[in-house]
Formats: sequence, structure tokens, C-alpha cells
Amino acid sequence: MKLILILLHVGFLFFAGCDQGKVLGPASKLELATAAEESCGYVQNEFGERVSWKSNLPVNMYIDSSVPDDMAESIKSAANKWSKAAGKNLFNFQMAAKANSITPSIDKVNSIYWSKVWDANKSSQQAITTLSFNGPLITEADIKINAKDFEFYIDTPQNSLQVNFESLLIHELGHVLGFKHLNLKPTVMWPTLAPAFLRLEIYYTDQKTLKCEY
Amino acid sequence: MKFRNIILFAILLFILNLIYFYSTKLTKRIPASSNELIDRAQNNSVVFEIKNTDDILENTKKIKALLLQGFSFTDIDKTSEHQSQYTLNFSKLPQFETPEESLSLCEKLPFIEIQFSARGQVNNGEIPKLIFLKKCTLNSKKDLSIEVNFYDAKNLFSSTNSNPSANYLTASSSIYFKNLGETFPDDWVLTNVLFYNQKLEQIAISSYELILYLGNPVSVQLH
Ligand SMILES: [Zn+2]
Repeated sequence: MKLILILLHVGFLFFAGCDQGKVLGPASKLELATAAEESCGYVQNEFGERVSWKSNLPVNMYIDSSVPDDMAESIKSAANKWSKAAGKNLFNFQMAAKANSITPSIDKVNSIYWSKVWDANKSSQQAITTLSFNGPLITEADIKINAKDFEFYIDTPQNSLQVNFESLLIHELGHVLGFKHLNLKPTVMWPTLAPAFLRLEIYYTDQKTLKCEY
Repeated sequence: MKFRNIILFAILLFILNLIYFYSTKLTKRIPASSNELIDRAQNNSVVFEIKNTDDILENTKKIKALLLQGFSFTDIDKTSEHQSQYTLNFSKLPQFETPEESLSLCEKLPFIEIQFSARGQVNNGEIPKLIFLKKCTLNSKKDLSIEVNFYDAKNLFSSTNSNPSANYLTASSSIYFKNLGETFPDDWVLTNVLFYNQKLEQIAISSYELILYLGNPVSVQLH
């Protein structure tokens, strides 16, 4: 009798420790639906997974020949600030030999374009960064700068409407990394950028976001 | 002495199993609340007896489970040239009963919002969204069938010079876009079905719940 009780006891403890509950969904990916990740400032896919480049770093980007040379330097400077904050190289740039196409397309090539053509009903956009992703992995990123409706400067604005180019790029490169807009200042992911406003450092909030995925 | 050894051995086994359980990926572990959602759905009862009709929020989980149990998503007519019309069907619906009155889902929550998200695309940190706003109307079989027409949505988008965020009114619904890019996405996934009323009481079925219940996401691929 004593032995049966002991065996029952052992059995109970064994199976109590084992209970993992039901596992749902035919594919392992679908199980993610039951455990959506924290957004942590990133775009999330339909399974609730954060979307990022994961370990596919650095992100290799082409700077289209449409981008003026001095502006290309600002892009590299903005990228260096992200890399410094992450403690590793996040971006590599190459100058495109010739203008590939002024319209970003899904071609598995990450490019930055300078566009003098912009839809009238999107004229308030300073730039658009588009990402393509597959599952939780970003597969392509393109940045298009609105050079039709905005004027940009590097060091000193020439008029009261000019927007600091590096401040814009630091934000757009955040989108390239998978960041959403943030409404908690200070952050480089604040949705708007006023003329002459400088946003040249990666803030603590952005560093925290960065650490969630990189 | 023997007895103590057995107990010690059992405790050791228990600890080893705990370590094994907590070392498995979080995603392999199902929260208790999700099991509850499914287990309760086995109960086919559709009548919710409530003290007053404002009490539906107490029954949210049961109502969602019931709705999901009778849910299907179908392509209206594959042979027609407009291959972009789909129907969300809810064949199991709750009825809210109080001693004074009995209300159907549509009487209680007459507005429906159906949200699709573009699959695999992000514009300025936001996934493009397509939202259909509908009136809740039961059909002759007392089922709820909601039509969504992607053909209309795509046409509206191109006829308005690809405005990324806009609101349109068609004969059967109000269509709302958010964060669209230069082209109308071809791949969409159903991410939210919301039933609500003027008092903003609501039953919201999220993409996670749809995936959890159906086993895979409800997706649409336009041709
Ligand atoms: Zn932005």
C-alpha cells in the first residue's frame, strides 16, 4: 500500500512537471500567434512577431546617382550614429553606378533615391521608406527623398523652410531597421521634423529599441 | 531511509521537468486564457442570459469563441472576372436575453469594422491597412454574411491618384485606407473584426485569435 502511494506520488510529481498544455497550429510558426512579442517600437507581422533584419547585418544600401554627393555624406554620417549606438556596423553604402530607376520597386536591392517627382496628395511627406518583409525578416528597404516639395541643407539653412538632411536620414534609417514612429519624446522616431530642427543624436529611447533586435 | 530517497528522487524529477518546461521556447507554451477560449467554444449554447443588455463585456470570451466556431471566409465567385469579392460568414451567433428583452448580435452591436493589413509591406513604419465599415444585418437564414470587395477598393485607390490615407463611400460599405504606398498591395491578411455600438461597447476579434482558432491566417491574394 505504502509502495503504491509512493509510486502515485512520484508519478504525480513527474507529470505535473511535464504539463506543457496544448500545442496549436499545424506549423511551428503558427504557435507564435499564442505568444505575440512585445512591439518594443518595431513593426509586427500578423503573428505578432517583430520585423527586423535579425542577424543579416550590415544592411547593404545603394545610394542612387540621383542623390547629390554632399547629401550622400550626410546619409553615411546618420548611419554611423546608428552603428555607434548599436556597437556594431549596421549599414554599408555603395554608390550606384547609374540611376537604376527613380521608382523604388521590389527588386531585392536596398536603395536611397532623390526624387523631383512626388504625388500631389503626398506633398507633406519629406520622405518615404518602404520595407518588404517575409515572416519576421526584412528582405528589402528603399528610401525615397521628396526633393520636389522640400529643400534640404547640410550645415546652415539658406532660408526658414529648409530641413536638415541628416536629421531626416537618421529617422528614415530607423524605419529601415524596422522602427515604427514613437510618440514619446525625445526620440528620432518622432513622426514630424520641423524646418531647421536638429535631430542628430540617437536618444536613450531609440537605443533601448535598438537593443530589442540588434 | 528508503522512503526519503524515493521522495528526494521524485523532487529531483520534478525539478528536472520544471527546468525542461521553462527552457522550451515561450512560443511552445500556450497561455491558459487561450485554452479557455477554445474549451468554452465546445459549448454550443448561443443564448446569453444576462442581467441587463449592457453586460455583454462579461461574456466577451464566450461570444468570441462562438463567433469563431461558426466563422468561414469564402471567395464569392472564382469564375467571374471580378475575383476579388469575399464573404465573411458567421453561422453561430449570440442572442442576448434579459427578463425584458431578447437582442440579436446585430441589434446589440449594429456596426462592423473589418480590417485587413497588407502582408509583407511597411511604409514609413506602418503596415498599410484596408478597412471596410459595414452595417450588421442578418440574412434570411439568420446568419451573418459580410461581403468585402477588394475590386472596389483597388479601383477607388487608383481613381484617387493613390491617396495613401482616405475614406470612400460605396453602395455597400465605407472603405478606409491607411498608410498605402504607391501601389495597391496584392497580399492582404485579415487582422481585426470589430462589432460595436453607439456606446462603443465592442467585441473585437484580433488576428491572433483568428490564427489561434483557425490554425492559419485568413489571407487574400489579388490577381
Ligand atoms: Zn517616419
